[in-house]
Amino acid sequence: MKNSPLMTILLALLAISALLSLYFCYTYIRKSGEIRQLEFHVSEVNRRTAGINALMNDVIEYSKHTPNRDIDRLLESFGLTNRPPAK
Amino acid sequence: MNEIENKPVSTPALETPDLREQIQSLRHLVGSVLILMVMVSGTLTIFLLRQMKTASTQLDAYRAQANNVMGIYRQQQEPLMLDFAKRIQLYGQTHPDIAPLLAKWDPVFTNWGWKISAQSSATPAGAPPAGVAPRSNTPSKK
Repeated sequence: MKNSPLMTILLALLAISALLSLYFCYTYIRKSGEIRQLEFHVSEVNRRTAGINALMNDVIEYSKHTPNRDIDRLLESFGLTNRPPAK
Repeated sequence: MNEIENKPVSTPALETPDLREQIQSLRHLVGSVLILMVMVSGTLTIFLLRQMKTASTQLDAYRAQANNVMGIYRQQQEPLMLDFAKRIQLYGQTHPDIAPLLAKWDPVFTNWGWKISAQSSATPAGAPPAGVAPRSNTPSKK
């Protein structure tokens, strides 16, 4: 049985296209994973920053209810104060 | 017996024009299916190429931003945050009334991978953080 050249060309095209699809799919998945990983790291940084801000607020609240010089100095050394801003 | 066994199988059916026509139409069908598959596969390849290019562009843009954010965090923010947490822990040693607040935050620090031990920190409570000029010590007043 003779194979027509058109069939061979089509099969070759199909194989090339399938291989390219696999490569692009793999690269896309890898790059998307990298983006997700970066997003996770940035969100972790933001979460920690928000967390430490909440801790600072807690300490400021604590210093309002329990005034003492040590906590005031500690807060001041980080540029924080429990006093309202001067008008 | 032998004559019957050695007799070549006649294939008269293969030579009928009807079967030739069927084979020809099957060839056309396979050709058409192949063309369709090449078209579908090509479309998918182009779609995936575009997706890959978009992801690549996004990654390049986002990587620079993320590295900047993480660099600032690691070099500037984290040492200060860690210092603050350590000094609050130290403060808690001499002021037990802050213990509930510290108990609330200890699991968070552990979750962040911070090993904060009040004993291990050399900085006393009330002392300025790194990079801040020290101030004169005054006795605490309650």
